[in-house]
Amino acid sequence: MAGGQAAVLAWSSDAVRRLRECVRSGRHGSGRASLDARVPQLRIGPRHRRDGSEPPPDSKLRRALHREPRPRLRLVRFARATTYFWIAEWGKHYIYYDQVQAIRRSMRVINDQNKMYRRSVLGALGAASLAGCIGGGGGNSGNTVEVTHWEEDAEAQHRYDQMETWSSSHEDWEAELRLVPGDPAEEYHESMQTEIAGGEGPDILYLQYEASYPSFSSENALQNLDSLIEEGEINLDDYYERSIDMYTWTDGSMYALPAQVTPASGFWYNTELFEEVGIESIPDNWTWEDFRGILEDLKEGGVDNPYIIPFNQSITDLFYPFIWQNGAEFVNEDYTESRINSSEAVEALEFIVGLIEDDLAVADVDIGDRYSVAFGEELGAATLGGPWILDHAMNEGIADKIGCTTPPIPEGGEQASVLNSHGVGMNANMESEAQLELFKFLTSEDGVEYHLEALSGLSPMETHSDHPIFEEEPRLQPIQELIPHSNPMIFGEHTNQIVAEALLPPRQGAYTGDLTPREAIESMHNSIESILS
Amino acid sequence: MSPSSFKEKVLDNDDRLYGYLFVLPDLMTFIAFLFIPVATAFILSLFEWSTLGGAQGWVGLDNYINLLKPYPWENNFAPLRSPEANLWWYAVRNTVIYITGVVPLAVYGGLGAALLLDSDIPGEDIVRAMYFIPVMLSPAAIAIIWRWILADQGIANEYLSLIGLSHNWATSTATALPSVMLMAIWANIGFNMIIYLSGLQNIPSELYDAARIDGAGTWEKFRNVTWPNLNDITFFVIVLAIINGFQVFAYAYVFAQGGPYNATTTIVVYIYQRGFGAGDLGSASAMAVMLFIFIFLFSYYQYTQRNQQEVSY
Repeated sequence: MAGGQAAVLAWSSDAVRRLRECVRSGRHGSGRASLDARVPQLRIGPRHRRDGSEPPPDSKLRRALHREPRPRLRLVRFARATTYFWIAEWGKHYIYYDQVQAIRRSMRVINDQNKMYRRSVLGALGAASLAGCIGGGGGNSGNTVEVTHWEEDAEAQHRYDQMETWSSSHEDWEAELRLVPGDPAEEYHESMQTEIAGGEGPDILYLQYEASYPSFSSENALQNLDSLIEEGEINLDDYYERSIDMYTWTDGSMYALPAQVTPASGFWYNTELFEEVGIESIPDNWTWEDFRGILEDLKEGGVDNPYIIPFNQSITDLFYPFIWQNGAEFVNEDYTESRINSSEAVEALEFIVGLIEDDLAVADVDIGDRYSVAFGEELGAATLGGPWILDHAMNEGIADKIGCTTPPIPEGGEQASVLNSHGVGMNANMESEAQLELFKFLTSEDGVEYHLEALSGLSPMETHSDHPIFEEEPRLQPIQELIPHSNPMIFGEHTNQIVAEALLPPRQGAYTGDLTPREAIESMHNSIESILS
Repeated sequence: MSPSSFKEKVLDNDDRLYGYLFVLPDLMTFIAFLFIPVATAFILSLFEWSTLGGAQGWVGLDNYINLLKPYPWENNFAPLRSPEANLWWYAVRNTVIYITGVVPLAVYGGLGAALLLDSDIPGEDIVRAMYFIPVMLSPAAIAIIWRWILADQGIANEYLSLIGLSHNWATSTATALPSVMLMAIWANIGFNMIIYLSGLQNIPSELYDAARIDGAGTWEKFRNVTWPNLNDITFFVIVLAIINGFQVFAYAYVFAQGGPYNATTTIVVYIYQRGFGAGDLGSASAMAVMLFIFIFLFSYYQYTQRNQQEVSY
């Protein structure tokens, strides 16, 4: 910024206080380099209303727009151990927000203003062209590349940052993010499937690996990347082999690249609640019995929900890692037969059902559908999950009182975790230079780094193995340790159907007491056999 | 109709021509948004058809046979008792339970509310508006509101816990479907009330005067004047409520996504899950065709019964 002096428009005493603290400490975790040098020079305040009330962000932005004929917005996240907030860099001003919604509103205003600006320029060019002054001309309808992602408040700003960064370095193209409401494995997957089947859809889409990749790649809904890889347009050298293997489909081709690959079975716990009942630490290589003992201690200590079990399709249910840990399997290696009908599988489910029956774990619609948020809201003392649990905890302001370790294993069993991944692919219905360019950016070292910084998962690239975030955030260490023990939840092209129709209802039946664990496992077996046949 | 007779009967007859022209926009909408999709669904139901991949092969009636087997009476009615035996029949069972519970209570609840509001009571307009508010809400919003009300930590349990009846309504397979029914009754009473109110206001006051002169009391007046004059309204409201009941989706899906353990999987929820979740448009279309047949047969039966009961003077 020219002059080295920036005004931060903040409109609440809390905002000013938090901002001052942040600037004083000099901590701004994911702020881009351009802002780093300016932070110490920030002039904070003044509040724009004497009574401290918050004026609507839009009116403030409009005033700023009036001063800046063509503003450029940058959104920067400042991170402290437990506090996140955002600053919009607007020409000569920084504008503070403490709500994601406010940012969204302002983004809409800015996008509209930018579009109006472009339209006016293009309109002038068009008029000039008609007058014979200059040749050429054209509309801007083809210069927007649409990217879809499921709505995830905790990570949304990183997505906007990504798009903004790319757009700012490509004058002719603009990346537009569309956040689709709903669970990535359910509503989001269904929306994308329907849009693509209708010959429409975004240019680029993020997808949850086990929910969408099997069917999207089997049905050629995504562009085959093989030729791009051969031509050197896409470079896979930096990706871990395991990441590449995951995304190499059964036909030997790749249809998407991983944005993050992460074990989803980290054991997250609320250290404060644990300490209150006298549990100082969790032992290494702890067993299912140790786990049960800890939950009993928590219950006796007055914790209502010692453990939260997801009740929907989520792969962070204890059920999945426990099946593998106990030596059971879901299907055979070539996805042609069910293997779940085993005493080991029944034993694993019996253990989990025992926790629910004894009120040591809660598995219900209210909490279980939003297990990670519920954990962040301290409605339970522990749950399984990936790095996103930490992000939710940060958003809820409890990041300093949660810990992470590897999940418990059965006596004589082996460690296991579900390997979760979010991929990014190009819609086969769309093909353009801008689409490819943005895809290359999103799957580049910089593009992938956003996911790591958003704590949505670990990087699929070796380059990021020594990323500063691992030093800043030692709680990611147990998640990293789980990588060699992790397996993706893939059962061939019918993966989503098996998870949604064969595994979920009987699991719910067992959790609600409508089925015994043995009946539930038999039901899963019969349904998987029926789907595979 | 030959071209010459078409010209003679239609084009040369202004009344007929204008009549057809007026009908044309609606006919086009009907063809584009109803007839073609229904016909397409029937065609899809005869194929193995993937949402993303399109036709995978002709299967004839296999989609129907796979859905219908095992039949509901097999294995001691297992398909009606457990979702594992046959989810289609289990979804039919859930839908029939829903209709059986919701239709009488919503229809007669609407009638009761209309009778109450047809009399002069203080704040009549406000009460009418209160009853009608749910009609203006989308089913998804209603389901979310009730999900909060009936949540484990929700306001319903807050009061029920005082008398020891606190319960996890949405998680229990025994109460999830009744919860969906409860919200549907709440949502539909207002609509039925408005229809009944219009019916009540169309009953000539002379009939009530005559009944009063004959010495009829409140019950006799209702039994012999009001009820017979609301026959057409009741027929309309019941048929509409049953058809809507067969098509219930948003309440069940938003409330518990068809769970827990398929307790709220109704026919349309199952169609949605097969078609858009599993991407199996072939069997989803077969289900949709069967649902169409159910509704058509029911409506036809109602219509013929109605015609037999009609008396001309």
